[in-house]
Amino acid sequence: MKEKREERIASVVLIVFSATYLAGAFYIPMPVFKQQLGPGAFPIATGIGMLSLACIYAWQQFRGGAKVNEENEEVEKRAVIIGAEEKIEKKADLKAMGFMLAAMLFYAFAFERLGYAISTFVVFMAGVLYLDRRHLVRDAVIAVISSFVLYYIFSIFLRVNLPAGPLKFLEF
Amino acid sequence: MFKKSFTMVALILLLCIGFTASSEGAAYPSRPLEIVAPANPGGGWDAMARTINRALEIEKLYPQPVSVLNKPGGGGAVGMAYIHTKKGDDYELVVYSPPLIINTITKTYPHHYNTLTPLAKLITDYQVFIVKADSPYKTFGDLMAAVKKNPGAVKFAGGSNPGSMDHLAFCKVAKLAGVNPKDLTYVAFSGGGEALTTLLGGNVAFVSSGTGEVLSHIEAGTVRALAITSAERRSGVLKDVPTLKEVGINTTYEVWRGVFGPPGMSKEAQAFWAKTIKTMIGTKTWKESMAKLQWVTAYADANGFAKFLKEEEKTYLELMTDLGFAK
Amino acid sequence: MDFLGQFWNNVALGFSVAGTPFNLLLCFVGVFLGTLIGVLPGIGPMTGVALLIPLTFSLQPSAAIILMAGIYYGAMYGGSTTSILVNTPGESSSVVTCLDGYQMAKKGRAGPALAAAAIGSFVAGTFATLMLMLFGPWVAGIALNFGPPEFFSLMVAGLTVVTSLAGRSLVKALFATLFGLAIATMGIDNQSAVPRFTFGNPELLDGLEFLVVAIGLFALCEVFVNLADMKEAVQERLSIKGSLWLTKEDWKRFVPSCIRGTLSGFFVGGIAGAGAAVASFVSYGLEKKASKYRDELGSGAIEGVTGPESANNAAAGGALIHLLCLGIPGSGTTAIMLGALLMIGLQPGPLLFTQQPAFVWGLIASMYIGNVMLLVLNLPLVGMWVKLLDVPLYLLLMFITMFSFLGVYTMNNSVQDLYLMVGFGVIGYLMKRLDIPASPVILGIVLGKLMEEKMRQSLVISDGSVMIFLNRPISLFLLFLAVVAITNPYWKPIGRAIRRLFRGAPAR
Repeated sequence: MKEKREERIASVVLIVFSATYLAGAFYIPMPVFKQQLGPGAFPIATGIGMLSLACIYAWQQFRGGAKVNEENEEVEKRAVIIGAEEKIEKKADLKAMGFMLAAMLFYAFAFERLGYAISTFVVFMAGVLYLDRRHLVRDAVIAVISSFVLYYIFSIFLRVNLPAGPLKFLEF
Repeated sequence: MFKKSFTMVALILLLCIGFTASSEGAAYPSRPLEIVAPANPGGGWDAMARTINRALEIEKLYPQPVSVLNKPGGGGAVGMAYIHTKKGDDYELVVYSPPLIINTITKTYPHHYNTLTPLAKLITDYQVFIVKADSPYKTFGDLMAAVKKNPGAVKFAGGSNPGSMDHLAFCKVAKLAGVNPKDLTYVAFSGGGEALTTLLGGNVAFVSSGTGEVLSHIEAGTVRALAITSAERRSGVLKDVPTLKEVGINTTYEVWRGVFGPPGMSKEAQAFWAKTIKTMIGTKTWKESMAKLQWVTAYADANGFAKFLKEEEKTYLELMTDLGFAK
Repeated sequence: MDFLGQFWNNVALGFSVAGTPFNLLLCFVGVFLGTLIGVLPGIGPMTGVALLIPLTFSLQPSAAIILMAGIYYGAMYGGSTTSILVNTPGESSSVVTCLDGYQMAKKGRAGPALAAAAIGSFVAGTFATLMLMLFGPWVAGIALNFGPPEFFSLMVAGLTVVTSLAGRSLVKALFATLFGLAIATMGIDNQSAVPRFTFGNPELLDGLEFLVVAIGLFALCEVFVNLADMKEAVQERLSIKGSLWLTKEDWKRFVPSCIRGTLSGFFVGGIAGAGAAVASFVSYGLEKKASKYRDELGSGAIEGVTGPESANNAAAGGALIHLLCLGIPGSGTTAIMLGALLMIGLQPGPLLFTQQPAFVWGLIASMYIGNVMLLVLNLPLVGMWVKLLDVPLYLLLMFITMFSFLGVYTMNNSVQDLYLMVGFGVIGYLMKRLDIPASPVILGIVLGKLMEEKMRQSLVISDGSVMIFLNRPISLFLLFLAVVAITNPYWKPIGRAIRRLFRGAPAR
């Protein structure tokens, strides 16, 4: 039943998203040249398509419970269900995910400011400390290799531009 | 133990930062140089940046390491935004070409081009107008006669958006020939290669292109160049291609490339680059690269370049206002 | 006879150029580095080749291109590895490989999946090289018949693949496709120079980078999903069961899908010039229609790895035909190679074969050698890669995160791309929870931009008449294929109904 509620919320979100996109598509300015199909045509068609599908989805969720099952069975017969058994049934560990999301956002924020090496080291260690701190020494060594050593391999041997951050002066 | 090593690292870091701070006062140049190419590898801007990089390194004209940084996006807009985050940083250079002015006029760039510090105009390339080998248009005159008769029916293609170089080059010509450029039909492709395929497949009448992309096809005779936008005839493969002046249209179209410093570059750094660039274009390495890439050095110093840019802006503004692109 | 004699002379010339110890070494270095580069998510063949441009300055032209081609091929090989092991596409053309490759790994069959990818790539790469050698200029001539209308129809045909990617609900899959198309409309519209959905942000002017979305939806999503069930200690599920090598049964299923993948990949990439990513999707769709085991696709069928992997390598080889014979780059990577060749002072194009025979045939020979080297290098590596799965899950998750960031950043040197990738990671997780498939989004992005562009170019060329899509035989044929692909599930019931009608069977 909970799943049902999730799907209902999702269908509303999709309708809002599609409608916003469609509205945005109508606001695309006209080009200075006359054209057979303007820059707005394709987005408008896409927007209308998305909105209709979102509405059908919502209708399936709110009204046509029985109908959905029928359709499902039919599809199941001829098509295979990609990732079907993968569907997340369990209650998700939201705390761990929230942590990881925060870590990723910090990583993106720090990537240029602290440089690749430092930010990677910090995020890696934070992840290790949060998830499993039984092998700290081993993991710290791995963190150093994948941050500092990798940075040097990339920037000196391969000459890929990775942000140096405060370590800029160590470059050569 | 962990804690101890951490303090050690922190100490070393602090020491080093102190060290760099003290070296800041030394004479220019005392730090590595970064040349920004506002596009992905493979294009003209990238080739320009890497050619400079190579000449500086091989001829030992810059005492510190030099690297190229690609900042692709928005036809150079991302690079423009990036270089403006480096205000007053004497260790950044950026290469640009006419889109700098075009995109300033259309306001695609977040800043006006004149905030950059022009250092030198380095090279120039030209546009050619090509048709397929079996095209009924034997000369540029044939082509223009057809265009005048029915501008919309003679479709032409280029490897970039409407309102960019491939398009504008022919609009400029059409306008002088008395055709309203708004009546022309331009088909935009993503990349000169796609435009060329379309021409060879017989889907458009002619293509407006930089010389580099089509040289091999002109040489092989699969396409015919009807005119080139340079002031004088070129050598090599292009020696038989008439200039616009020769075919009765008194204009040129230059695809220049130049190098800029960030906004607020110091006088000291400007003086260094004025001297260094002048030396660079005289070196063997530079000349070799020019020959390989079939580019022509068209040097102008900082003042000359700035004046040239003003002229360019005027021409483009006029042309693009006619077309409705100016904002 | 004369043709043959000439041909063998050329081949001999080629091997004499590519066979020098130094060039062999370069070829090995190239495929080795390429494999490593391909394995790192995000750092695809494009970045790999770009990295080496400075290095190639100091080399002979033939040595330089041998090195670059090695990297190009190596990266195409390596890209599938992470798709299979950790659901992280190494480059755009191995996104499809995630679908069945990762499912195979989950069933403990990572070994056969990797081996099938390597062998499929080898066969397809060799085939494409052979075609280049025998029919290069001829294929290039056919390629010119692919104008904007043909391209548009090819994209329409490609879009029908979505029915093969649909999970439980076709509505959800269609919505996901349209979402992909919507993402593809972001950026400056290159037909009118009007910015769309860029919100005044210069970095959005070029639209969203395809791999930013793909790595977010696949790799980061996988991190979130795994974190959600970390506590359940689901580690064991990835460990290897059974042989690392293909079983007899696997071989039986490998051969037909490899042939289909190679041919369709060569058609889409080599003849039409539509790129390796499109080729891999088309091949997947084809497997779904043609394979005897089509019902297993999506839950870890070997066809789902072999087909796309063969296809993307055949397409990559095909793109080289465009580059060498026409001087026209058929993909981002070949565009960079073209740039590098120009900097070396070589003009690829119609005259290259006659003016620089040592260069061209040396390259061709090195492609054979490189393909063999890749196979020899990669098969033993299978054992090593599979060990990667023994790494504790939490470390694996950190590695995926780290390499995703590293790869996405090096594409455009952009931090904004990193935020977007994280955003798509979250979207990917939500989609998974709601059972909305992610691969149609990628399909929509891959096809959307081209489809719109080609449609509008066609209409400008035809002065607005849609007949241009029906008047031209290749275009018409491709549209016909699209119709067949969509309607074929209904043929059986319709056929039965017609038969019943004729037999005059009584109505129920």
